[in-house]
Amino acid sequence: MEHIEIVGLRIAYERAGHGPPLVLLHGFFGDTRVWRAQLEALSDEYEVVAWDTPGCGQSSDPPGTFRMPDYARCLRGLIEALGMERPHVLGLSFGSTLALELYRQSPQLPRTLVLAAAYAGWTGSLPADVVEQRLRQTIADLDLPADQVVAKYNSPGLLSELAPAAVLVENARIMSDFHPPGMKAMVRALAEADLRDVLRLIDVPTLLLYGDKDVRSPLSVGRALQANIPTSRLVVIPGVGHLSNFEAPERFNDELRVFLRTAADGPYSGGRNGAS
Amino acid sequence: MEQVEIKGLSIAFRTAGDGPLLVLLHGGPSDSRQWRRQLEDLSDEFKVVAWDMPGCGQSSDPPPDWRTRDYADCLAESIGVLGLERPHVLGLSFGSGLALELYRWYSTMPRSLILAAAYAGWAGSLPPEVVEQRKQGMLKRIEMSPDQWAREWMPTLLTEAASPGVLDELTSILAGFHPEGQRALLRAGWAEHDARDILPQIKVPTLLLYGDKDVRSPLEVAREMHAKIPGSTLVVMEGVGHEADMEAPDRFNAEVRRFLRSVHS
Repeated sequence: MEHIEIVGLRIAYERAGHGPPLVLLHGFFGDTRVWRAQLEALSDEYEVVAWDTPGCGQSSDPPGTFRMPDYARCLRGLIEALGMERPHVLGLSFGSTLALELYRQSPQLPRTLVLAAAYAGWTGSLPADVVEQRLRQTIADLDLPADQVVAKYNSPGLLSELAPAAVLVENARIMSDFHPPGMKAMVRALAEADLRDVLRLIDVPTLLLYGDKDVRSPLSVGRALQANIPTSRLVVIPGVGHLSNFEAPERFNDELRVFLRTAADGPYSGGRNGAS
Repeated sequence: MEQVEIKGLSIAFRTAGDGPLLVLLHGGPSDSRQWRRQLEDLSDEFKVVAWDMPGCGQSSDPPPDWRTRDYADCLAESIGVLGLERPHVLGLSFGSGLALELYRWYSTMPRSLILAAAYAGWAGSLPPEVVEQRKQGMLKRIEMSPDQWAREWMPTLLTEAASPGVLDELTSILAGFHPEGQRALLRAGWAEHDARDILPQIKVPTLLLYGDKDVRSPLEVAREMHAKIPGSTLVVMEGVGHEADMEAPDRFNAEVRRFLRSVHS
């Protein structure tokens, strides 16, 4: 685990491998550890960087007023500080909306987008009453002890009911380390976000990746994104829940690799760390 | 005896029969051998699996930094490795506390709970001075020879009415204790275990099974558990002590069978 200071926040990240840069953005109750299988497998071909979102893992908590544009500015700061040139940007759930916000701010930055279990923000993808209900419920739940949070959100929730026991156990461990103040800021940021206007502007190859057992960002949301992002392709992984990268890492990585190889086959212009 | 490996630990278990899955969790100073009669009798209708928990029987001793939660994680992963989808989980004494801790973190895993001679943890069910007394007693006994260890435990595990055969069998099981495994239990915080907060959250069918001569988990504890676990059934077996599974196996197994059939009907 390395760390760096960006806009006054301590940002922790994992970095592995050499090759075209790939940035991994986790979702609620997560941190870099949810990308273990991606860091291990894809580092044979890519420079893989996974961050702890501010307010998660070993990164410091941002002010409670932090919203999606602030997270995106912080992310861009990290990408620049690490010298990653035109990275592939993969975001899951909260991370997908963050990837869209990054694109809105800096459309020239991402080489491609991989949006897994994605929303255009809750406000951008869910009915207003659902957003309101989720926001109220999740904020209240963040004051519960870790075991009750795990009971409510692990399975069915982040993982499907079919997730293997070892996956349940590993995710329960990661979830238990959530920071209540950090998560509250993330929840408010995702709830308020509405990135619908960005979708039709996207002109980089975009993969939408969904588990068909996802109870949090259902396939209907994925179809709406596909209809509005001209350059997108939708791939559904059967029998998998919201955290598809964690629940079915091999199938997730296979889809990711196929996409990154074919959709991004333009000449890779950057040397290592973009030094060219 | 079969073995699986979980995070570098070798976990031993006995298995018998075929049918709905029933996982047996033994008591603190014991191992899977205490379930001989359940493995023999209930395997005509169920797939019965009894583990040696880490630190007992033929399983490895856990690492020194283990906490109560690690035992539950290891049990959950063992159930996963054995392919036991949604098993019925039967824990006796210490095993009942472990079953509750499994339920705390993995409530979707157990299909039903059978809590025999059960506590909501020592600290959750017993007065603080009794907890302290038991903990100090454990620390003293851990230093004893296997024979002494068994002799010290015996009076609180079986009643005087227990047959000499059962007495001998339990003595030989207890004599196999791992001092390091027992130290690990105390170090992990099991003496201070308090699972009272889980009881009202239990949403699966639950049988509470007690002997009325049990001096370790007495009937007041049973009634408290019964009052707190929604929809639970309390069955009290007359004239039986703490190790009801060994002392009165026919009645114990009949109650388990009746309960499991009711869950499946």
